[in-house]
Amino acid sequence: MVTVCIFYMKQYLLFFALLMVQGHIMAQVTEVTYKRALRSADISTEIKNKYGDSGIKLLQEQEKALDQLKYTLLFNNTEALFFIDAVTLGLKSEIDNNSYWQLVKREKENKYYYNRPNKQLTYQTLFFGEALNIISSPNELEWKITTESKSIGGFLCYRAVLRKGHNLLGFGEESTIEAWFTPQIPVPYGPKQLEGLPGLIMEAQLATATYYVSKINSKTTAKISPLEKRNEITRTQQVNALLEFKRDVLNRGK
Amino acid sequence: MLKTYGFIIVLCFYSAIVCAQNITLSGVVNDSLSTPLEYANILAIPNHNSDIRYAVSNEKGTYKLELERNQTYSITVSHLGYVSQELSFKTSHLNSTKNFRLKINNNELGEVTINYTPPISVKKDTIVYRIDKFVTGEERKLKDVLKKLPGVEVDKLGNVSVRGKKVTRVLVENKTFFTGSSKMAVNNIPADVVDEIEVLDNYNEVAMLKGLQDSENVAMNIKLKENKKQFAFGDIEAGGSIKKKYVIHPTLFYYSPKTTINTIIDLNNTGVKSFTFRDYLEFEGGLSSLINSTGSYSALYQSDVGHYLKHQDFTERTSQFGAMSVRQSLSEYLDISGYVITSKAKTSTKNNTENQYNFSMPFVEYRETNQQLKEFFTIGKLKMDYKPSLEEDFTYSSVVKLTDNTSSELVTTQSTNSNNTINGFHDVLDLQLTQNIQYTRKLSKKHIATLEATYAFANDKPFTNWRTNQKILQGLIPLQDDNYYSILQSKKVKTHTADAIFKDYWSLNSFNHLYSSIGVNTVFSHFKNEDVQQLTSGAINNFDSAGFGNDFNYSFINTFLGVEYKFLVNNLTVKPALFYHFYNWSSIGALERFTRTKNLLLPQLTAKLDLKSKGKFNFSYKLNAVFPEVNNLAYNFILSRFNSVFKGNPELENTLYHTVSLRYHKFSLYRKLNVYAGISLNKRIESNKLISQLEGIEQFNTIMGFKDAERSWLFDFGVEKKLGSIKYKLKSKYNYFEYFQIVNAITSKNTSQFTTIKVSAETAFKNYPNIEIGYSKAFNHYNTYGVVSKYENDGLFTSLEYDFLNGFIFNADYSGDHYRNINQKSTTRFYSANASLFYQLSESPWGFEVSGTNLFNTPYKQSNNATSFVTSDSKTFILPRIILFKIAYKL
Repeated sequence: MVTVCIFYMKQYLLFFALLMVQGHIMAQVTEVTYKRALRSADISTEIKNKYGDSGIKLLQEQEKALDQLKYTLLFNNTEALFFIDAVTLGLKSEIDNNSYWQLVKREKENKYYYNRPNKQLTYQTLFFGEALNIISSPNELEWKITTESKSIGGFLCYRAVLRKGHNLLGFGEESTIEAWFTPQIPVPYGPKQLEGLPGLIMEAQLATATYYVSKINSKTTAKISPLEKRNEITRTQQVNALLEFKRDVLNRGK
Repeated sequence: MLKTYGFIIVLCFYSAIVCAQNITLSGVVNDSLSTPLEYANILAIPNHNSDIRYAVSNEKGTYKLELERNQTYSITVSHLGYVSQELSFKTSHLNSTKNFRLKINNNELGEVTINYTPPISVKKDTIVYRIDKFVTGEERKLKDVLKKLPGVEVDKLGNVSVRGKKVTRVLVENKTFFTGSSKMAVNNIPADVVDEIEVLDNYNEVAMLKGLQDSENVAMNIKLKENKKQFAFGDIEAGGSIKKKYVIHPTLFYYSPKTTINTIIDLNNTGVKSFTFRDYLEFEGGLSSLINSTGSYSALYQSDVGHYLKHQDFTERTSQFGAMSVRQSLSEYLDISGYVITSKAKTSTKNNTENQYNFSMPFVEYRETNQQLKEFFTIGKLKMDYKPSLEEDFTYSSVVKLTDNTSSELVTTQSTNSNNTINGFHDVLDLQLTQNIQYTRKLSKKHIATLEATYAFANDKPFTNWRTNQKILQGLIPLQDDNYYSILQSKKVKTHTADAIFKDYWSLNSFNHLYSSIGVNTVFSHFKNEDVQQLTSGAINNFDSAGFGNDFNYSFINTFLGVEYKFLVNNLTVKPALFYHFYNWSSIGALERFTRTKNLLLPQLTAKLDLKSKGKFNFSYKLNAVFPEVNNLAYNFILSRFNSVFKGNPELENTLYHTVSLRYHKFSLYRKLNVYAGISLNKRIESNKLISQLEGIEQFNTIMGFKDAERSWLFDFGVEKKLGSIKYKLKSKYNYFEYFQIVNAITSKNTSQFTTIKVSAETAFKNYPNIEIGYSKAFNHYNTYGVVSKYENDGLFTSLEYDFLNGFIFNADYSGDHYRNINQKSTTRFYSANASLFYQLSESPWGFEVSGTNLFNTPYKQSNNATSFVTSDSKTFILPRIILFKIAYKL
């Protein structure tokens, strides 16, 4: 009798151990830190002449501040959450009419959540003063994956160009939306609303902004906390509401 | 039938061939325990020139890849937490199956720092169009040229987009063209001056800040032909009617790389002012330049030009108006702008008022006033903007204003105790000079300092002459008997004002700011007036002997220190402030001398609560002190109106009152909802009150300090909601005033209450006519000396706009009012209607308009008011019906 129990216990323990390992793999969250690139190489002599030395110093300060800006992507096999790292804003955006603080103020409100089993993307934001969760389905973006490759931090990355779906991301059809992803981290996640590639996006260009990975930590203790409950609308509803509002404003201005 | 079959067969073959180009590779992905793995990535990297294909395994572990046949691929299978597998695979012409078994990866990535900087691709973001390749020479305006460029779209209103991106700014020779709006540029720049058009992608004035924006701005830069760097454009509108009404209205613009000039001329006798408040704002530098100056917007609105632009009612008006604004850039950092506005107008007004005197023995006075006004004013403003670096900003402005108004007025008054006709003649000659400088400098990372100083000089010379054949103001003015009475009043007021304020903005940390300020306000005035009677013999009877006439110097100095502390806690921003004022004023005449000093501590508090979706709250509290105007300090009698005499009080001090307000606002674009509500309270604890002696319609007024509290409330609430294509609006307002009145030594507490409610619906159709229809209700309730007067108004209004047949625009509006004087039990009904039909010949500079104003030929508008101890019911006469035919031509 005891031997039977011990036998079953052994099986149970083994099963439990395996489950733990698998469960550990499932639940263990990886933390990826992204930074945002400023096209500082573009300082032309024209700008230098216009703003003088003190002006250049001011712009360099702004650039240094932007370098501090970090975004975090937390993910495991079934979920992903992307958001901007906490920055103490306080009263900063009120006195200094600085584009940088205006950017941070905007970005603070945005969180991007992807739930794979439910096949649902949730974009939490402040849509013209209204706190909403904007729902959409993954894989609505059409990518063209080329064989062009390069190494980013030792990871082999391939280049993908967005073929269709610019308007879903809020950009015009001619905007440049590109991503370098690595199949070595086989998850379909990335910064902002970019998803659906066979690997983690290590570098992405969304029109004028370039996001790139600066750190990956697979042993993080951070947890993916669920987004707060809010009123939900679909991405199509959001796009249509904005179109209608613009039309009304234009008509009144006639 | 055969044909259809044949077609189907061909289709099948075709699809078979196409499908046959691809074969499927499918299979199952399991782990080492043969459990199916979901979310495994299967990547197929081609050896030939083609796209990478991939598939993801489902919950059963199965995947399906579509690959080209007879090609070699490198297949990689990976899953998070497992060791990936790679193999080379050559496809045949048949579908294949390949299963995979993945082992757990015990090696964890751990913490990895990526040292990587993305390469900056300096893409040439500019598209250049050489115009001569696309034009035929028949194009008139830039709009016509743009329509011929590939990838460029222009809509009816003048919005431009290039390859789907909207052009948000138009530049000419690298500088913003007037306001920068594409509509302005596209409809006006002549086609023959354009040499090249550059479309600038990702436009931003500072290249470095490109990375900070999320959206893309496209700018269009127009390069001009060598010899065509200056050009002019504009519109001319001219019209007339059978009844000798005319309008001539040219708007002209001149452009050159360093100078831009904007001229508006309006000559008409139709009573329409084509120079709007918006045009005035543009002359002043646009809305953006006012954003940082609090109070500037309301100061403009209440200024002389602002006053001129407000709606007036008249029976006739002939006006000549001209405005010109010039902008000149002297260097990269220095901009000079200026404007001159001149207006000359001849206006006739007529007003019949029923005045109800509610004091002691109530009686009614019927007063008819006919006025002819000749107004002339000229304002010139010069402004200089100097921005030598990103840390400094210097602005200097100078304003000169000259006013010369003459008016002659015929007043007929009838009541139980008087019957009289008075002729009044009034001439005002006024000169004002104002200089203002503003300097802002960023001292350090934590400090920003600003300095503002203003100096103004004003010279007022109003002159009035009253003529009547009956003695007026008996016992108050020493009139000598005559056949005809002519009374002359002249006033001369010369004022120098100087203000300066220095303020330091200190960011203690992210959540706490401290602002300190020190400043001074000074006023130096010389006030002189004389009241005399000019006898028919020509001799002068000076009223000086009876205590009339003033001549004194007034000086006022206010030095103050202020401290404001702003802090942020969660969503709440609070700013308490304390201002300490040292006042010093004196009034010095030949015989009288009066000097006084006073110190006041005036607190303030503002708070903002931003609840995001739930709305925003704004709270403010302030203790205010206002010092009297020099007029009120005159120690001798002054004749104020044909029926009143005034005596000032040099011992007057300041009024002191609290103002509190709380406002709520919520806007939701998604819900198409706009809600606002507000409540404000004003409590006067110390005021300067007018004390009156009344006899019939004649008054003697003086002014004294008063310490009883008086309150007023304002409550307003509004909602706007759009359902489908219709927007519904509700607006409501309630005002309550209570004030003390001292007449013939009797004090009474009077109240006035005003309630208005307005509901309306407005359509927003794209292809159908749009109408707005609404209903309003107003209740006015006055209680003066215990006598209650009530008035009610029910109004219905509707307007229609219809754009049809590609070029016609029809506008019409109608309103009907039922006006009731409850006490008198009388109802007046009046209706007003206006309509216009405009036709623009497409692709042509010509436009035609036929318009009718006051179609029902309604003679007057009715309104009511309660002032002092009188409630008035007034009929103001308006312009009769005018049918006008206008032609417009675009230069």
